[in-house]
Amino acid sequence: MAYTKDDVATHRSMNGLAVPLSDEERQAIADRWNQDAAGELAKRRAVEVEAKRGAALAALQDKVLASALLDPNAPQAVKDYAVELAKGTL
Amino acid sequence: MQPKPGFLGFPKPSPVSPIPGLVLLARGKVANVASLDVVMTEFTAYKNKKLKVNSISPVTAGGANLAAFVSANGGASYDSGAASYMYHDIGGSQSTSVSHTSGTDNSIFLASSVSAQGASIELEMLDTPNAEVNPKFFARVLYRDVSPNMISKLYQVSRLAAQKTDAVQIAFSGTNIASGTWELYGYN
Repeated sequence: MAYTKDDVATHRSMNGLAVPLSDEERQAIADRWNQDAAGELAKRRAVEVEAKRGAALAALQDKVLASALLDPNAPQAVKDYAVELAKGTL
Repeated sequence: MQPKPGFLGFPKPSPVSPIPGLVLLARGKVANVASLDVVMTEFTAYKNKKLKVNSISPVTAGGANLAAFVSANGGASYDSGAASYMYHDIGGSQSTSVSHTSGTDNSIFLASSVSAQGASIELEMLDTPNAEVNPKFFARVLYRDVSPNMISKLYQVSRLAAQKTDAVQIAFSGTNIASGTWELYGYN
């Protein structure tokens, strides 16, 4: 359900005094509510968290790759993982 | 000569010689309004401000998010653009451990799914007259959500532009404010 100006109160409180809102101001508030309801806020936060996770994972993969390439005694599973990383299939 | 009365009959604090300590600058209550706006243009003598909002409740409990927005033009407009604020918050409830979130936001995000019991807030605004730095804010929030859980949050927020802070707006998203009271304090 989309919010309209009719969902918004006719006044705001400014320093304790009721100040009338114009139809345009009420519609602007309803538009902001609709943006929030559409999950813009949650979406933006999720993108930021995902970006941080991606950066942390990339750093970890670099470490695995480096250790597997430099260490001849690295476990076979790590070497296999490093090969897949190098091929870009992960 | 008697001091000129200020808002609601309170002695008007002098803009030239601030009173030491925590000084009550203004207070009020709200009922059935779209937002709670507090304009602080006449309180520039007080570098730091503390806004206490008591049991601010939504008309429709549930999905309502509660947020604050600041202004640098006396409340003519409030900053709500994407990534206007950078924040880190620490939160928890009576049943879950502490969690951290951070990022950028279009507001000083305070609470979500607020119940009819409302939310209580302490919002500290630091170095408010200084237009040369990015304004910084601390917020403590305690509320009951509709679960019902008792949620506590501690926010550290910076506005991502160098500007003064001379007005602040508190508003729900998706519903109006049913009721609440507030006090504004100043200190140096």
